[in-house]
Amino acid sequence: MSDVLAAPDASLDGLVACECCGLVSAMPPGPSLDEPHDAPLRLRCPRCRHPLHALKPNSLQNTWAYLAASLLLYVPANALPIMTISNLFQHTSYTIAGGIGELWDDHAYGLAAIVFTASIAVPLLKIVSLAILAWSAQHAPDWRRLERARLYRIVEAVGHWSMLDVYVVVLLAGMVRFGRLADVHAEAGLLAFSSVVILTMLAARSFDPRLIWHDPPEDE
Amino acid sequence: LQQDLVVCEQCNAMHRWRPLDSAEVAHCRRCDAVLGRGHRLGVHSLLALTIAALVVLLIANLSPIVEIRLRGAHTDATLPEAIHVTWLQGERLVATLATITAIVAPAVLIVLRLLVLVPLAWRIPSPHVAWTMRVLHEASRWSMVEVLMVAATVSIVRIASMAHASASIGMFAFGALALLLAALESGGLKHLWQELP
Repeated sequence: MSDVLAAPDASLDGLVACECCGLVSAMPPGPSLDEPHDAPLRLRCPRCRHPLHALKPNSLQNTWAYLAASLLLYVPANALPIMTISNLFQHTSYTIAGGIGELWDDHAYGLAAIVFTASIAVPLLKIVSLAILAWSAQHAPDWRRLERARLYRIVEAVGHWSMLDVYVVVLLAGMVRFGRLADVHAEAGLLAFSSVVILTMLAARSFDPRLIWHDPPEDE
Repeated sequence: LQQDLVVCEQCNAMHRWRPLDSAEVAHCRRCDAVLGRGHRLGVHSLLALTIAALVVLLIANLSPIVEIRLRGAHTDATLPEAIHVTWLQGERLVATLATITAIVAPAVLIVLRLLVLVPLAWRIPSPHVAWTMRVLHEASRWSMVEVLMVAATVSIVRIASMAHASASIGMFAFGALALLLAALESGGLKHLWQELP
């Protein structure tokens, strides 16, 4: 371990660190940067000009909004077909789960497991995890803080892997072009699915992990 | 202002900083997030890796990813061509997303890094550092080359049931690009500010 804890929270010393470049600046006195409604005067980092705030503005509202939208789209994303594979004899439409079944039937068990994790498990666990994080930040601030901080870092790290199936369909549609012999067509479910991926990434981006360590106001 | 202080970006805990040995990784005392790593590539090594990544990026986007043969017929497609087909099939939003995450974001990461590193390597002050660093900070979140790599593998297996498919140059180039970007990104960007003249 290299470093000594100097203060539990930089804002207690009237300091704020830039999210982009890490420079520590002194906050001017006056209304707190924690105010939910951003002050008309926007403070910027003197080094990289990134907006400075002790917390991301409207973090929880934005997180909940993105989560609600992604949960709504999660249903069509999994129910609608994401692509149609056609040859001389038949057209077959595949949902996300259908594609995994196909890989399983081809004895590609490892890939089937990867696609299941990336396309079905990760989006659902992300929505649930972020909902737990956002809920507990408001209602159970003392509960398992270290575990919640780790959970947030995991959600941030694995989120983009859900784009896997989107790329698979794009590559298949682009490459399998033999006219009536064999053809792959992207379907509407793909739009819903990629929206879920992007919305959950935006939800994770708007959640401020510093909220995990905040203590609730005394009277509320 | 406070050069020896480092604030954890995950929990806002403030730590006093001291230089790290090359094998050391500093963790936040409160939330255990990584505060910084001791092993870091110098500006010249970073520049070399970035130039290599630029070359590989061009090869990856201009070469076919997978070649397919079916009853004597033969097709292949580069990534931009595949995305274009998706666009023509009506899935324009998906095509845009794929373009941003697989082509634009990696290209931005590489080109803007060059814009920062080239003046740094020759110790020339650059007026563009602030905005390039801000864009780089956001773009790293949206680059998904390593996911594309796994997706190409999955698509070869999926195609195998209807035609003969084999990996082509573009696939290996994307693999190399994923590794180079991971090496570049691992050190983060914040330490570059200390190198500025």
